Amino acid sequence: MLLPALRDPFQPALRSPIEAASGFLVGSLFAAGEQGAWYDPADLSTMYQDSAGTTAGVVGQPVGMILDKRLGAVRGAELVVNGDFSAGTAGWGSINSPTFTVSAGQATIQNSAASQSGISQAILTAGKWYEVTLTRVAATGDSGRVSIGGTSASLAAGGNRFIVLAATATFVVGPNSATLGNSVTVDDISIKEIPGNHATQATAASRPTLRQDASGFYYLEFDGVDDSLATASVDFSATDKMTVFAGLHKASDAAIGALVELTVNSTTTAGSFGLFAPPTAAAASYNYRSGGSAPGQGITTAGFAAPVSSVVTGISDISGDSVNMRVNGVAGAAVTFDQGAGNYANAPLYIGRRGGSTLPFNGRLYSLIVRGAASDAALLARAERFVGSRMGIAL
Amino acid sequence: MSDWTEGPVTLIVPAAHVALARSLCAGIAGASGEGMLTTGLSGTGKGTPTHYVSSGKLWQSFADMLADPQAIFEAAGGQVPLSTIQAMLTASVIREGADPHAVLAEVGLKLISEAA
Repeated sequence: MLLPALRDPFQPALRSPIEAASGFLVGSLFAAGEQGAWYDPADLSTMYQDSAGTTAGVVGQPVGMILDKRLGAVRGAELVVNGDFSAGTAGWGSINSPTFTVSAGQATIQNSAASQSGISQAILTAGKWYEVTLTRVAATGDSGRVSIGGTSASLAAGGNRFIVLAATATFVVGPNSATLGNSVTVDDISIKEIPGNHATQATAASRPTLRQDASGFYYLEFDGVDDSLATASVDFSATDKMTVFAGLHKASDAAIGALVELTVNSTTTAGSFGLFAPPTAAAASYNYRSGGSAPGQGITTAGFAAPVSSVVTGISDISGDSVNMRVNGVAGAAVTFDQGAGNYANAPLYIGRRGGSTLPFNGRLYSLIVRGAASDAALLARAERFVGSRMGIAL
Repeated sequence: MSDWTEGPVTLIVPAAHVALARSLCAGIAGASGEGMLTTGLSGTGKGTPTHYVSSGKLWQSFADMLADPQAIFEAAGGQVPLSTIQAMLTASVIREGADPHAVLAEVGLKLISEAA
């Protein structure tokens, strides 16, 4: 007697138009507030050549910032009061008593003494990311400057944009020196939060390069010498479960490559995970490891000699004592070992180098999703299919 | 923003000169020059670094300065003796546009790769 083929109820006979046309809705991985990050080099609007977000990313040029799309990279509400100065000087505080005037909706801030002055608003929250835009209409004596939550930057003529992680609450704009009489005229100041765990690289020579392969897929190229990105601390302390999806091309097995790691060392630091390509020099393999209070241990999947492209998924559960890895949708045998206790750490994500300094990954990153939660089989399959779609691997 | 170099610039500096090199990079290039030359090298890929490397696209104006001790001397405001800068550059390797791994192979150095 032939039994009817059983179809997985989570796999519709026909892929939905949304999934077929635009791929898996990655945002659904974080719909319940799961911590994590999604970096998508296919979305050029999320990348900048510098770490302050002033210059848009371009194929062939370095990437100093990539936005986390987990929350959509959506800008929040306008925070500046009277940013267009239509209400004169209203809403603005001052530092070092500038001569502050408004004419035709444009604000001029001038040093009234031999001290650097400015106008200010205390509207930021430390630890949050903000996009600041403004127009520099004129400047006398110096370029003018902004201080955004403690980060200072000089102004260029015309439109300016900065994306900054605030360390303090205050935004300031004014002359860029303490010279008496120096001034800057500005208009249309806007500050909006961009929630997310955005990754940056301040050192120019250490930025990966945005590339497009022969099939048209976008990726970040890590040179295997000193390229990396890193986030500020990401608070995974509410979870002891992790799923990491990476679309990667490993260019060489000559040296250990740390593709992504939570904390500075996933072997010795509590609450860590790490994905390595390869995990040891000359190894034709990938390795994913995890550890709570006990040292991190992992699973290695061999048979992937460089150069090779793969969709690699790391899956771990600290209290469940399990670590597993899937490559191109095929699961290995889960490894069970005591990872100790506790949850994952509140620590930076390092992409491309351990701790931003050693074990440089040599290859391409087409997609990276880090999800601080367990993922069921259907979710794994759909997310992996999406990651594969970003690099030409059909799963 | 200044124009980037066409390809990567690979800098290899002996350990004896790296503190100066790091300071000059940061002083000349500002925040984008900080953190350079932190990847250690040795002949065996093990042990204490004998050299340090940076490789990547740089602003062309910065890259043009690298092989010019006089330009570096002036950019540093004369705070570092010209002879010291010359000695550092003579002992270092600077390649523009080449694959950094090919440069490492050429000079017989390997990335130091600690256990993961």
